[in-house]
Amino acid sequence: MWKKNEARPYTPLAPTQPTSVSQPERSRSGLATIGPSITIKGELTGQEDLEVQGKVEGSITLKKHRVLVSESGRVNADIHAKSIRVGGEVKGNLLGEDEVIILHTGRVEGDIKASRVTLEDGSKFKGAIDMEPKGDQKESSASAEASTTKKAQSPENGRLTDTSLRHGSSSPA
Amino acid sequence: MELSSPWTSDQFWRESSARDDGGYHSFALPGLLQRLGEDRKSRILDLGPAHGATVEFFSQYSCKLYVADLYRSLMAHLAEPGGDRLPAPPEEAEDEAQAAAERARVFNELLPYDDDTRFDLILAWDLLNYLEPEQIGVLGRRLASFSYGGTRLFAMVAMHREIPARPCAFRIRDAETLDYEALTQRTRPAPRHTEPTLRRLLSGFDVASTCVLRNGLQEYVFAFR
Repeated sequence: MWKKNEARPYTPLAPTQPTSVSQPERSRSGLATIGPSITIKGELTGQEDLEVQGKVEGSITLKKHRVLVSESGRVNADIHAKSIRVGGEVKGNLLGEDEVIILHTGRVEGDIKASRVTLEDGSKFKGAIDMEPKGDQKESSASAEASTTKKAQSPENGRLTDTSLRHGSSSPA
Repeated sequence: MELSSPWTSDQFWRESSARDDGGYHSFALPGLLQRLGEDRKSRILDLGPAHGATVEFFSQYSCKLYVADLYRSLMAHLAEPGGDRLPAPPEEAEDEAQAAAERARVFNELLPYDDDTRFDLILAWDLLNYLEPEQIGVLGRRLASFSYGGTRLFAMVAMHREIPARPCAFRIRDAETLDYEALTQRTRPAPRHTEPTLRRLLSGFDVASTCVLRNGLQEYVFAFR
């Protein structure tokens, strides 16, 4: 059901990872990909980064890892992850420990909570975004893990800097 | 009131949409923002489409930003089977009470917030230019249900004869400046709602301040009483 794709480097998300050693431990088992013809219904958890090219209904919980919903991805589920990027369609709430980025091809209906929320020009969003002033972000994080893990949270960390995502070019909003 | 405005020119829209700095000074915005985040988390309802710059701007406040993207949602509804009942004017409706109930149901679905939700600030941008009077009335009643004495509603009404065929994309550049961008080169007649009309349609809201800008937009700040 899950297609490992270790041969293909997962470069699109790499630039958003702070290089600090204090960041939460990252998966070393590569990237899990739900291919475009795959549909999953249920509760999805794991210990590695995930790319959704197919359909997911239920919930996705990868608190220490990154989730990318590619342009072809259709997710009808709440997502809780360290970092969430949406280039496809999501109907559900997004809880990002670090950040949530809706790419220019992305469409989201649901509520967002994250330290950093970025909406690229062209993205579609309907819902609510819970915000705290930037100076209060660490203190106000809802995540116990986030509060116990010293994060390298410089202004550049978490900002979308790569412009070569596989599903299309992107530009920071 | 007839203004000689670049908004009447289709060419203006082409030019303005291509400009990088097509912003203007808003007289209402500073006062509206001053009310936010003083002692508690503010709730802001943006009736327009989501825009990254606006999200980024509000990230400096302790707030919850609700994005309704109302016009697009409304158009999507109208495209659905049966959705064309919404704009029916009273004289064409078989049963006006039924039509009114249907309009109310649609706006309830498009603005599906908890009954106890109260917004501090509602950003309507230029949406009112694109709604029929009966739709504004229904919208006003829906917004009133989420308002309290401190709620402010910010809207812009075009004073000229033509406007872009659909709402512009507005975004907050800074505490005094708004950027806008026409999303289409097509135009349509502007309804040019008057202040008495808006006061009548937006029941529960009073005009707290209004200002006609050089670009032909009239800014309104409505206060819920």
